[in-house]
Amino acid sequence: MPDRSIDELLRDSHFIVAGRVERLGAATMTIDPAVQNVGVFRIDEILSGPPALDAFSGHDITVVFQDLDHVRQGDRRVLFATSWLYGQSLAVIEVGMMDERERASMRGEIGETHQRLADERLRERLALADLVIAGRVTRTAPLESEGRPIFTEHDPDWWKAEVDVDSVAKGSAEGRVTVLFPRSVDIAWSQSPKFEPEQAGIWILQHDQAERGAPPLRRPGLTALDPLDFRPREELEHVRRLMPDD
Amino acid sequence: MHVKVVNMIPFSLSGEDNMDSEPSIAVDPSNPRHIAASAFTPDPMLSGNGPLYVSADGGDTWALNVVLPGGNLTNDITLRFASRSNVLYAGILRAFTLDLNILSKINFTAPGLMTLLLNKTFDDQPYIEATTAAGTDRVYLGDNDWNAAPQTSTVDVSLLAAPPPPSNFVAARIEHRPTAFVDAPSIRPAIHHSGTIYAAYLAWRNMGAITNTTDVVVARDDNWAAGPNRFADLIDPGDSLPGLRVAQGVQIPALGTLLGHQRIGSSLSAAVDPRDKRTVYLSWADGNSAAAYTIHVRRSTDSGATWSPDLRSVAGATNPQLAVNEHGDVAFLYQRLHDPGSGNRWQTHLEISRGHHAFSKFDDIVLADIPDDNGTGPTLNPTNPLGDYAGLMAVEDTFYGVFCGNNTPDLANFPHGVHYQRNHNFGTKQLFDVSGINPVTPSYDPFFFRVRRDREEGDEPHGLEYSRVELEGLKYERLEIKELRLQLADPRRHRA
Repeated sequence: MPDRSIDELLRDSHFIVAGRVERLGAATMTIDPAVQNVGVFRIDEILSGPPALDAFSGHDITVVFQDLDHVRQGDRRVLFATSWLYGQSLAVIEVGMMDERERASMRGEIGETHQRLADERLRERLALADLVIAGRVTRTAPLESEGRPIFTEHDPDWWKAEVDVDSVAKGSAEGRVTVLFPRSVDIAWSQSPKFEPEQAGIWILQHDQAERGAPPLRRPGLTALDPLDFRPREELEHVRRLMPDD
Repeated sequence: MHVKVVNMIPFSLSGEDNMDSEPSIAVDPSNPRHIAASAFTPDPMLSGNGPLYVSADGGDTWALNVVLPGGNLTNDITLRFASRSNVLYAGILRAFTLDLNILSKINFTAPGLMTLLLNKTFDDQPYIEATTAAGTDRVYLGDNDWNAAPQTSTVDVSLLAAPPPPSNFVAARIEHRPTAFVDAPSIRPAIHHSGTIYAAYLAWRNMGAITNTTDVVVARDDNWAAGPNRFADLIDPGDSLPGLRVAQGVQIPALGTLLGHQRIGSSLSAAVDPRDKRTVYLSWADGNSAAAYTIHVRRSTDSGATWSPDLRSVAGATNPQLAVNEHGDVAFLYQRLHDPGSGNRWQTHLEISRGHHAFSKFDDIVLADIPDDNGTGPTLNPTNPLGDYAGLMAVEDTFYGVFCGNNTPDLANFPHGVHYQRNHNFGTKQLFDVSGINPVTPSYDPFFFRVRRDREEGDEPHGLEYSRVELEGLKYERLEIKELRLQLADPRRHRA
């Protein structure tokens, strides 16, 4: 077993593959010659990774190992890695390794641990929230202008969504709540949830948020700006279970 | 003319369909085979850090190196190598907070995050320049610093750009006149190796829903911006304030105005002739509507005191970039919207004029002519597919640049040819993932280009011959006097 827990490994790694150490001191692509502890790893199976890299199953990649004392040519391992270079091939940095015999059990454990980590992140968002509601958008409209012209390409283009509340999971609210949202699709706001009439879901809301955008771009009110802050309506019971006790 | 165009998405990311827009480029002046570039490209593994594009072979091939802190992809970013240290500098807006960071990295192809030199809040559009002088790296970052509102145009200067933060940076406020609220986002420094630093900005004097009334201003510092009154060496005779107003009261479309799919409203570039600190070129775009959005190119040969009329003007175009090479050749990059009858297309032009022609004669290289179409992939940045700027710089006799555009692999879109690293089929005009089997939807990619003009007779003034030599590992520039003609100011005084 590794020195680090599976949770720690998964938290720090973004590409988990099973395969074989093909060569040490070699690389599958041009890399900086000063980089030490490199080797070639043949991927048999991608246990976790972005879809854009699915086709690397069966291919050799370059790995920067933590050290070469614990790895030998021919070793079959489960490799936990994070990104370094995307080029003609792929080069990753080892976060940790396990014996290949752990591979079967890892498949299920990775899924469970990812869910646990996702829940952890959602729990953090819930802890930061002032109000968590379920409901349906009845109307959207531009936020009344403050008479100030657009002065940056990162202007959020604030709109408001009127949400009819049917359930409150945190805080207190009745009837209708106004949620502000950035309608801009600029790089600064493109990942923040956008709302349309008739949209139903769960809103994890902060009052007068101070997380995103420079202060001149913020507006007082309730917002749900993190991609995790708007959830499918069906997750309400799950959200309630994750709600911090306080 | 030697022209090379390369789609920069590496083979390993053949399956990606992001809107990789708003590029910048940095070529290491002491090793032009080393090039870094950027675009709105996320780390596919979502590691929490963002990638740079890196090339170690002069731009022929590219990889992504995940070295940028502050999110899976940065917001605004520009790059520059110092001239002799090989250190790469970056100015970025971090994701989420939009904090401005100035970063450095000694070895740009190595793993490991860039080093933080400065963190600022309430700031916009970092545009970085760097050089090496007196053994230290000097960094000049143009930015729209809202902390200084309403006079926001700023150049953050460090004459010793080394950690720890704040790395000797000082904020030089270059706007000295009232503004409507703030200045426009674009502030562009330009460095001459003698220590003359120019900084151009667009000063919003009145802001409206349709247009902003704007002055186009150039400031100058004659000693590295080292003194207490930084960028105060060019005085406007009209009001005796620092910063000469090259154009006053021009109308520029409000930010967010669309030209095709691309937003416009803050387009600006400046470049100084490396042979002559007094010769500086300026480009901006104005007009009272998107259709009238027109790029102007002007030149000063007296350190910004007076300016030529338009050397070039191009309507319906955006993203002007200027660079001057070691011979004084001027390159002008822009992207122009046109409709040949089959729908809107973006033509990316690089015009190169010998300095003494000042665009009375020039070569016009169409690097790309591609659809103004976001493709059918994810529409991140659908109103900013090209980006708010492109990238261009000159090292020795060569121009290096980067622009963004639709990535459909159609050779008809690239009049001078193109090289794709990602899986493609020029015959069927399709992209494929790494397997070569599964089609990938078109999106927007960054394209690198490298252009070098053949030297011609008459390039140098009569009697001079320019060459580069390398002796004992050191590079020298040699200007040989082949013929010397003396013209006496008053021959009668010298008859004896």
